[in-house]
Amino acid sequence: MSLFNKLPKLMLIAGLGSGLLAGCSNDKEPAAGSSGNTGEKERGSISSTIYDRGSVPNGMGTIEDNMWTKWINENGPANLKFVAIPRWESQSKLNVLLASGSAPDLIFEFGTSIRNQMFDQKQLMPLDDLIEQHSVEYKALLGKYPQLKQAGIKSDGKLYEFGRMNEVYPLVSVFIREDWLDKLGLQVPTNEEEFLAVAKAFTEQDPDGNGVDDTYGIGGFEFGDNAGLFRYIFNANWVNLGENGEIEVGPERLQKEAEFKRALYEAGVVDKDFLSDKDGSKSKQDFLNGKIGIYAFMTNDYMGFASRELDTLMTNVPDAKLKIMPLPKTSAGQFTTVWNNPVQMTAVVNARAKNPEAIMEYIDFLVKPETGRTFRYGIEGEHYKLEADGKPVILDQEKYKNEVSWASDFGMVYSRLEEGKYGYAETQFDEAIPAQKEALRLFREAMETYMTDLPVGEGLTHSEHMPQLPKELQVKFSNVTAAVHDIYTRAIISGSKYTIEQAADDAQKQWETGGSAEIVDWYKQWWDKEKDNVLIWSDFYEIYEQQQEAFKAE
Amino acid sequence: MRDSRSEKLFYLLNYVLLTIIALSCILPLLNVIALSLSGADAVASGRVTLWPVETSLASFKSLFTGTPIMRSFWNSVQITLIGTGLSMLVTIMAAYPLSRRQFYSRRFFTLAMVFTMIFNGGLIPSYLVVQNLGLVNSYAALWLPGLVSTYNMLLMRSAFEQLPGEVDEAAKIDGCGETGILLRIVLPLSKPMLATLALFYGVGYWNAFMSVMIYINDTAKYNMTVLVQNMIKSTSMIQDFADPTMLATMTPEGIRSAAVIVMIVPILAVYPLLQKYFVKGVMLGSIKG
Repeated sequence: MSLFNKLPKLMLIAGLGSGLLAGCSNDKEPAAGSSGNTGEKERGSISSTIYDRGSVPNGMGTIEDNMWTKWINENGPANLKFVAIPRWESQSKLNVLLASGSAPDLIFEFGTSIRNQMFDQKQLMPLDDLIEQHSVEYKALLGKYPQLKQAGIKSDGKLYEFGRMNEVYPLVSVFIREDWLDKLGLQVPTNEEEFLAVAKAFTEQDPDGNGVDDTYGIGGFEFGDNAGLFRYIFNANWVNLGENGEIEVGPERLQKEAEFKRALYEAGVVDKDFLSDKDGSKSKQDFLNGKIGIYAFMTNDYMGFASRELDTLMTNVPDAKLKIMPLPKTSAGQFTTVWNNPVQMTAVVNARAKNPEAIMEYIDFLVKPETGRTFRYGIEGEHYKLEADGKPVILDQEKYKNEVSWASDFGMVYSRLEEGKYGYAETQFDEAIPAQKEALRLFREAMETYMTDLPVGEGLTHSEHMPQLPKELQVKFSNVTAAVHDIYTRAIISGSKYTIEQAADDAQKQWETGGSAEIVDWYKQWWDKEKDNVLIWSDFYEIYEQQQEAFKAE
Repeated sequence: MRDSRSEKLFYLLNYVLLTIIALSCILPLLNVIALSLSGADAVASGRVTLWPVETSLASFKSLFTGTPIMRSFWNSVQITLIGTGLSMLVTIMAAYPLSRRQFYSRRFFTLAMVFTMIFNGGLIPSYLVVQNLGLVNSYAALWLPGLVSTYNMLLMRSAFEQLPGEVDEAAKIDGCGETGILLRIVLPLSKPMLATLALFYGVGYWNAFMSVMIYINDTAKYNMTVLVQNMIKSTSMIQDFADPTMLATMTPEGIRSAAVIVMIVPILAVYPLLQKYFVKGVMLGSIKG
């Protein structure tokens, strides 16, 4: 008898087997009734996720069992049990935990799409009543920052997410080599033509003076830190806010960006092999070795930028002087680079959580500045001291690194600015260290240059506040954006064989056949329904102004 | 016999091709070694290629003090040794009867096992099974569900079948039972096969990633693959960095390279020891050895 003749029998056996297994996998616990009786302040027991980044030093225990988890259990309002979620694989780990009914009560997750997915699967608990009845601290925070509520509301109009307020500052800074400009007698470029001319001069006139033709005007053309630069310059995004408050979806804005990139490419001001530099590391290294004149960095963390990139550049090329460059004016208008997300949602509650009240108490505990400060600086007197004006100073860097530096994920709902002046990025720099002093100068310059009321060149809003398309539309959308991107890349490098006009036609065709009608419809409907709830860039600018006012008042 | 011109050309091409392939394997490894032994500045500005620049052991030092690598290394060793032992044991116990012609329903059992190669339950059902067996958070969850690789079992079965039947007839006449035949005749004659399969299993357990990540919740029990993966990948989670203190947990490239080295050295050390068996190796059909 062949395998095929036996197949039905085998499948029957297998089926029976799995049926048995399914039979015994039913959840034992019935949905618990609310733990309503107010027995005076009995400590609740809850479980919570904590990211594991593999960074707990040797001898400090594990991320779910260490001095900080003990500290939380001793000082917090509830008994906490932590479940480690590997940072990179958080989605699959959470899926498994949720599907098997063993997910923790409180789930911390940065990924907007992961949280949205949990909401779509009805795994989340609405929080409005909980906050209304049981919260003090978080309720006060919501009162102070209504945006936190706005951002946490899902499509059914209820609040599902806890979050924190972040300081608004530029996420990307465009650096230009001021020493090169001076040497060649040039000005910071303010429009497309000047940009091209300066990049050309940087490439051809040997600005580093070593007599070798080894410099480029601009780096990171396609991948890496710089990736968004040209998109920001032209606001070349798929979803945009139109003139009259309407939403615009489509590839039309991409053409001008491609045109300019093509001009730069053909002028030879960029490494011809930019497509093979997949993570932009070659280009970044070139910049740090003083071979590139204009380069955009992810500077979400200027302190980190100071100790890594800036320090390396200052060692390699002591003469290098950087300057922050505003985005040039173009035929599409003038824009500013992307900002940090000030209203960041970070936590949700499992719909099966049995003790929501204790969760609320715990969130209230985490939101308090004293608690948040502990996860940033450690225990007062042991890891840091407060100076007369309230500035926290680390007592012993080595001890801090070993015991505190990895604890920041415990503070995911903590709004740093609640600490006052010393929560702001500007006060974190140590001017005694040359690289940090330089970084502070650049940070201030970047704030001044990019925090303007010019529209942000990233379309409608920060990606973390964009809605998620339904699954099959999302697949179509990803496919069509990838295809259009390829079309334009081809147009950038193909010279006369493939013009931008042809590419724009092809892109339009691709878009029309790739599901544009459905996608546009979906976004339009979403916008019609939600536009008053969605936080957009102008909201963030308002937050920025408030924050700066508060900062200056201190 | 002297080689003809075309044969010489063929050999030349072979050598060139194999050299290129060998280099493509060795060069990245050398690069990682060089990175792990270089200073942080040199790594950041891309001055390190195949030889360490500003040589220092700082990366290894921070790796051993600043991360739980020793613990996870020890976990990997346990998972691998015990897992390989168990898998080999059960594979032998499955392959031997299936290789006996007198075993009545061997065809049925073979097909039943082959069936599992084609169909499996998927992640969540597997997890539910493991969870309900109470294996979550224990290494048994890594060992039991994949105890026997069907493919390896088939390899072993056909290796056993190749042994001439006269040998065990002779053993039987001398008074050996089935166990005796297995232990004294079949296994000693199949050493190359056993060594090779043990290596297959060993490498599999050493590299175990998904299973550890899914089934093990206690980070003290993580093995090196999960730890190293976490160290490498956490670096690129942009959204975390809204809070700059998060950056403190980022692992610099030198340390990550050092971790990769620590992870691959044991396997590199085992290969040469087993190399002589590979020459004999495994076969499924046709003739070798």
